[in-house]
Amino acid sequence: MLRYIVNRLLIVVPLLLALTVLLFVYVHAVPGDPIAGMLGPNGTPELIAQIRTDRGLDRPLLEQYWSWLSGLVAGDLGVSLISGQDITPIVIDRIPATLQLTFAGLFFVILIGFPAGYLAGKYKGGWLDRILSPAALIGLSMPSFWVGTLLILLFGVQLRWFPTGGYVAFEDNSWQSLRLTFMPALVLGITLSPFLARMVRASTAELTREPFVVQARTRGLLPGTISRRYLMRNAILPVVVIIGMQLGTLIGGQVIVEQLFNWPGVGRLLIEGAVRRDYLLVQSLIFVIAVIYIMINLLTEVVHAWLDPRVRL
Amino acid sequence: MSTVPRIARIGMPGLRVRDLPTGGVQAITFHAIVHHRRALLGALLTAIVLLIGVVGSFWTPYDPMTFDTGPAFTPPELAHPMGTDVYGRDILSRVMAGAQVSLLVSAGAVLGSLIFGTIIGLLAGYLGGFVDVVLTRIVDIMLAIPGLVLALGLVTLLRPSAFSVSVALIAVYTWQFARIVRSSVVAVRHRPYVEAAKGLGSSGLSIVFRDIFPTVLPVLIVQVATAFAWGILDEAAIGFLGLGVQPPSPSWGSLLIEGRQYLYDAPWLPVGAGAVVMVAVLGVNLLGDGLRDIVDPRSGGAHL
Repeated sequence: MLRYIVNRLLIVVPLLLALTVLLFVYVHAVPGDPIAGMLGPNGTPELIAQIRTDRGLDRPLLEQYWSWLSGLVAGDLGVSLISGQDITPIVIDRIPATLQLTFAGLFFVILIGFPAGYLAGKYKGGWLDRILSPAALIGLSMPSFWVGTLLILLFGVQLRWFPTGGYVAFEDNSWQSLRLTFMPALVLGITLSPFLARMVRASTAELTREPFVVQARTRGLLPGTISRRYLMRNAILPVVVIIGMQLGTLIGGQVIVEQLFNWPGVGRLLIEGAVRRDYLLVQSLIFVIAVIYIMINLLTEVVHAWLDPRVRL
Repeated sequence: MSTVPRIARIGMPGLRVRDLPTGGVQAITFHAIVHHRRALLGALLTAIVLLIGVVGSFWTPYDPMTFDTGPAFTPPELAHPMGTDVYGRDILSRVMAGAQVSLLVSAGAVLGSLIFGTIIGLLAGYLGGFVDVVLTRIVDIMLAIPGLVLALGLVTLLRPSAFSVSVALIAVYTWQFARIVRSSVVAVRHRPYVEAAKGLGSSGLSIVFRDIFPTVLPVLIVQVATAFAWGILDEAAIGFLGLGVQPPSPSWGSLLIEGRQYLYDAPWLPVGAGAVVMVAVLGVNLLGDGLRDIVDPRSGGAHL
């Protein structure tokens, strides 16, 4: 098990290295002068030149890349193009909020997606499936900001059950923190669970025809026992893999949800940077988000290997 | 139409033995779509949305940019079926005018990524070796960045406009296309008929386009539908975040920012604009699902 984890970690290193190269190329391949664009009409040539020198943007590209990379290795994300502040402390400040929402969102994705997919697959073609399958397709087509807006209007404005946005750290006020997490996490759950549900449905439907399930039935085992012992256990396995596949969409969706609910996470920081066209900040944030994404993905792989020893080989 | 041998179907108990169509591009006929409920519903919804886009480009009930077509914040009523916004502009007109922008952005994104992705996928899959290793690694890495996050980053660098959103989405979607095309090419690269074409002295280009590309086509068609749905959603999301088409020009994305600003005064604005986006995406998704069933009959069997 430990060897498996170390192996996976070793694969991540070249991946991250290549990621920095590609990000850097992407950012610098874009035509036009982002600084002039950022300053707009206030951008006198002198001011532009001064910012260039201050942020080290007049140096050769290779040197710029090297200083960015060596900074990243040391945990330094560089400085903001606009304010010149160090990015690292700002990001560290925001990571707890982001992770809290990511895991709460995952919780709802599984809470909604797994039972729906399992039941629809187990009774494929039945009345429940006939309701759930179209519902999943509709869910797949709903923009997250729209679901969020509807929830805010319903729970926040009409019923006044939940606050419409904001964030309180869990350590400061756990109850309020959970109340604030509920709606944004539910939005992630509603918009992302249909994908999980569809995959679980397909695999469960397949399972009901597997020889070992048919055999259990002919042995006269109670339907409940068959479900618990054979269906449910095997249906849970792909969930971990699918969660890994879906993570990118979850994180993308989270950017929108953070913006909608005033959630001070990394996603919102990315939008703030993007709106002000602070490309140094955006470049480092995309890297941070990709790292979070790769790490959680790795975590799901490890969990999968732990659940299903065959994967470890 | 050729069929799957009956023998392949005997293993499934309780199923009536019936010849399955083999699928493929030839299976996409008018007949097949009309007789597939999801594909038909999807095709109809997509057609309606496209029609709205076309009509909206030359006629709308009111001018989408004119102020005071009615009192500000009129809730939906007969004269303004979707209400009016803060300046008294007719929202239905703006949704109709915005449709063409949103659909064009999405179509551009799909077309661009289709072209680039297919080229990369064909190169990697057909040439193999070193080229394949390098290209596959690049694809893996690009897919390791959450798509919307990368798109947002790219939009930052470009001037916020419909064109930039298209470019950013191309840069994000291309890799998915490349991966799909590559795996289909690898699957057929050593089939006898490809080897035969090689033996007959066909040029590489001719083998790629006449022998290999047609086998990739069914998967690509489904992927195009899927990507088109993403495109509509992502354009709206980027617009919603204020980084896409800028107000006052209408697009579904830019309508949503205005909707968000006046969420409490005029909830019908975001609800209505969002609902239109949902219907459009649902239509394309249904069509994509249906087409998948038609080109690959053994994949589906979902209900609606």
